[in-house]
Amino acid sequence: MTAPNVLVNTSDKELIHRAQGGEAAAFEELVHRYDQRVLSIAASYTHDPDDSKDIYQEVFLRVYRSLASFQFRSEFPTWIFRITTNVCLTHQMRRKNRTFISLDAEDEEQLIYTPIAGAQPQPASPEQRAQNTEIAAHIQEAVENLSPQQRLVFTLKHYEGYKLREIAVMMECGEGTVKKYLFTATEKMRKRLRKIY
Amino acid sequence: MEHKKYKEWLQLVIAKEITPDQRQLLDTHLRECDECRTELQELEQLMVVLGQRGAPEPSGQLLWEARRGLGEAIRREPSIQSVLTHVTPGAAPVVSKSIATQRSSGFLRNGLGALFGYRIALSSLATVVFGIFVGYLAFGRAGAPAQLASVAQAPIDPVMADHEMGRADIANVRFVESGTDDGKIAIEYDLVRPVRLAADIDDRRMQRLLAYALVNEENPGVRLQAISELKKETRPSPASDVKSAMIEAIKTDPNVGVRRQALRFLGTLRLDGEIKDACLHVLIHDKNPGMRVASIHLLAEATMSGAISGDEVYDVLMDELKKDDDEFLRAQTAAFIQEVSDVQ
Repeated sequence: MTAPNVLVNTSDKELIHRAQGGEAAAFEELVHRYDQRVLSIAASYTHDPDDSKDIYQEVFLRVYRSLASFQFRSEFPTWIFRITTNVCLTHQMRRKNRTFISLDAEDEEQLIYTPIAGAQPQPASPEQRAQNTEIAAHIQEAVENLSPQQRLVFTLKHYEGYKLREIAVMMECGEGTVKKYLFTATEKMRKRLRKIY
Repeated sequence: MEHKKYKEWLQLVIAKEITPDQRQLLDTHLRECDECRTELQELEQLMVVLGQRGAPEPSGQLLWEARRGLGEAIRREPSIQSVLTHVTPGAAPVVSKSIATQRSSGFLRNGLGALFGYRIALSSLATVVFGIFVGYLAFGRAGAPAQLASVAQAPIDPVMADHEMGRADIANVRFVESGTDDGKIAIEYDLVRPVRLAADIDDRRMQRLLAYALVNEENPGVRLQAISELKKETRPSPASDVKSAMIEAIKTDPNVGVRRQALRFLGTLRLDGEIKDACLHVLIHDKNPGMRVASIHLLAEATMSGAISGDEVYDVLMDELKKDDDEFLRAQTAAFIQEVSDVQ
C-alpha cells in the first residue's frame, strides 16, 4: 500500500499534475501555498478588503479554469502572479473615487497596516494618531489618482518589495516600461503629497 | 549626460535598484545640482511617510473569508458541476450531467458544502435535505467514471408556498443574464429559511450540521460550541465529514481557540495520513507557537505508539528546527527528533 503523501512536501509540478487528474486536495494545497501573497498584493493595490477578496476570488477561479491547460512553460508562481496583476489592472473598484480611508472599523481590522521595516514607529498621542489618519487619507487619495498600471507598479515595488525585473515578468512587459510607470507614479505622489512633508 | 537621466537615477536610489557605478556618477552630479539634491530629499521624505503608514496586510479573518468565498464560487462554476462526455463507439458524443464526490476535505469541499447551508429545507415529515457535495474537477479526465454522492431528498423547488416551508427570505441575488434579444433576464437567488433541528449528537444529521457550522459559521463562539458538542459523540470513530471539518478548522480557522480545540479533537483519534498531513501543515504554517507545539506533541505520541514512522515527518521537523523563530519550539522539535532517533 502506498504511504500517504505529505502534500506539504510535494512539488508544485506534482501537485499540478494531481490537480489536473482531479485531486481536490492537491489544488487546495496549491492555493494555500500562494493565496496569502495574492491576497496581500490585492490588498496593497486596493486598500479595501472587499475589493481584495474579489480579486483573490477572480484570480483563483481563473487558475481553476485554466489549470487543465497549464503546460509548465513558466513557473507556476510566475503564472499565478501574472494572473493577479492582470486581474488587478482590470478590476472595477467597488468604491470608485473614494477620497478618504474607510472609517468602518470592520474594514480596518481586516487590513492591518504595518510600518515598513526601517520606518519610524507610529507615535502614540491622540493628536499624532489623528494626524496620521489624515496623512493616510492623503496617501490613499494620491494613490487612487494614479493610472491602474502606475498604481500597480508603485504598489508592487514600494509595498510588496518586488524587484523591477520581477514586476516586468509579472506584467509581461519590458523593464523599461515598468520603470516608466514607476517614475511617473512616484513623481505624481511626490508632487501630490508635498504639502504633508 | 542628460539631466533627465540623473532624475531617473534619483528614483532608482529610493527604489534601491541603483547600481554602484550609477550611484557614483549621481553623487558627483549631486554635489553640483541643487535641484536634484532637493528632489532626492523630497523623495526620501515621501518614502518615510509611506513607510510609516505601511502596507496593508490582510488579517487571518480576511484570508478565511476569501477562502470560504472561493469555495462557494467554485461550487457555482458550471465547468465543475457538469459535463462528462460519454462517447459510445460509432455514436455521437453525448454530454450528460454527472456529479461526483470530492475525495478530500478542505475549503473546496466545504465551500461546495455551502450548497448545504443555503438549500436546506424541512419537509412536512421533518426530513433534512443535505446539500450535495459536488466536486468533479473537469481537468481533462474525459470518460472518468463518476461516482454519485448520496442524496437524502429530491432537489428543492424554489417556488414553494410560504406555508409549506415557513417564512423564507431571499438573499444573494445574482444576475446571470440580462439585456438579451428576447428581453428575458435570468437571476439566481438563495432562499434562506430558518430551520430547527433537535436531536442527540449521535444523529448523523446533527453531526453534519455541526460540521458545516464549524467550517462556515462566522461566529467563533458557535464554531467552538460545535466542536464541544461533537466531542460528546459516543461512537468510537467520527464520520468522515466531521473529521474533515476538524482538519479544515485547524488549517484555516482564524481563531486560535477554535484551531486548538479542533486539534485536541483530532488528537483523540487514531492518527492517519490525513491527520498527520494536517499536523504538519500546522507545524509549517500556523503562526501561533502553541499550535505548533501541540502538533509536535501529537506527532510525537503517534510516532511513539507506532501509528506513524519518524521517517514520514523527519524532513519537515529538520526544516522546522532550522527555521522556526521560537526557541521553545525548536527545543521541542529537537527533543522529538532525538526521541524518534532513539526509537529507530
